[in-house]
Amino acid sequence: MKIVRVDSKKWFEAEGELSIGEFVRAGDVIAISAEVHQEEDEIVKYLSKGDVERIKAFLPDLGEPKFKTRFIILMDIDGKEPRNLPKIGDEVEILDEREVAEVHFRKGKLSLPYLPYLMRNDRNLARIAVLKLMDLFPEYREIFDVILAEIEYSLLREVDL
Amino acid sequence: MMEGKLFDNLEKFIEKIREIRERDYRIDIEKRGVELRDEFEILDGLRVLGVDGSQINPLKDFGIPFGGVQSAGITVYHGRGDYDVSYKSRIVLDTNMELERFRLEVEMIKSKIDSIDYAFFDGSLGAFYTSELSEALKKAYQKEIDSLIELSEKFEVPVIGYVDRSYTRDLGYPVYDSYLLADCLELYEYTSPIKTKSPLNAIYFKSNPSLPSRIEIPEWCSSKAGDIMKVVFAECRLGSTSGYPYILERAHYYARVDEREKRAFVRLVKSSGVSFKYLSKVIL
Repeated sequence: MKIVRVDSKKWFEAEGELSIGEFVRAGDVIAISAEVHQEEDEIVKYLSKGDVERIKAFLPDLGEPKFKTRFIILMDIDGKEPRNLPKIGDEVEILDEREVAEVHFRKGKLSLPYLPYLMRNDRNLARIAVLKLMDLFPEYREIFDVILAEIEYSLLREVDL
Repeated sequence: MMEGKLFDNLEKFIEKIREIRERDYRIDIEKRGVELRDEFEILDGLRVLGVDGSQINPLKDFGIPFGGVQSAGITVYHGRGDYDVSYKSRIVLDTNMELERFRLEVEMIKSKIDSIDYAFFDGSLGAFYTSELSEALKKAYQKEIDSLIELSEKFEVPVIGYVDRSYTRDLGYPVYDSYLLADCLELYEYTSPIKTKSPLNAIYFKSNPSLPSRIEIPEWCSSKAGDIMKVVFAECRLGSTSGYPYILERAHYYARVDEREKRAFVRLVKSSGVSFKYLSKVIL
């Protein structure tokens, strides 16, 4: 998938659909998929003509509905605050488990410099990320449990009891 | 001639309109109706071509009066889920842009005519036989149309000119035909083919509750008018507004030159050419 829009130092968008909470690399940055949305496409104007299969058979050139995924930039590939933004057209590569573990383990230590930002901005996404990392680093389970408790507590605080 | 300002004579103007409206118009044409059938059933298996064009007008600031024209043709294989889009383009220097664009659109139909069942052209083909263009220009248009009609007959493929809003007066009254017929035709009714001053016959078709559209077909296929109107009806039903042919809607979509492309075109020309206008300023 390719980047089609760079919104800010923290957000970019790529064409295609990806499940929430996937770690990716784009240019010099590490990011996480945060939102998926479907673009309103030209086929929508013709939906009253019949079911989708019929439309595809008789009005075949109408574009299929397109999905886009929005990503939050977490850090650069060295685990630091990113200096360069990714560019439109850059390829977004999904990191496998080994690569995710690598980018989160530096100089013999677990490294999650983006966690405070993620917890402030999207607690649910932070929880998904932490649960993934918990599986990859079982030896740090106690630390992750504390983080998860903090996330749960902050979520509870949002509920108007 | 009237004395005084036009505004002072508004009453006479209104009187004239009233007089024209109140005349007894006897329209001697047969009304026909499209048998309301499923549009998918009508189009199933047909290969329909839609053609439209667009242009970039001469960029005077570059010192050379040139622009560009392009035509797009979309062939839809209804029911098969298949389609094909192709383009033709030309840089136009010192000639009539509209004529060059028209030529490309006609070229597009000619290049596809042996592999389709129906061709839709966005606009009037017959207008060039009666318009107030110069004789030379009129002849140039007519030459294109005559050769297109010849091919249409050879391959037995109806070429359909579709005019959404027509201001033609083939019925011989001072009122435009489409306005005259607006109240006579019910939705999806059409007139029998009307002879015109061109080698095309005209049919007025009420494809939407407003004014009837004008359909032009070569004289040779007037006996097929019923089948042609079924296809026109079905294409209109498929269109996003249900009142304009889908195939032309899409041809228009592919033919347009959007602002981004225009800007890129100008940027490219700027970066690769010398502006004579600029040079003349420097020399002076």
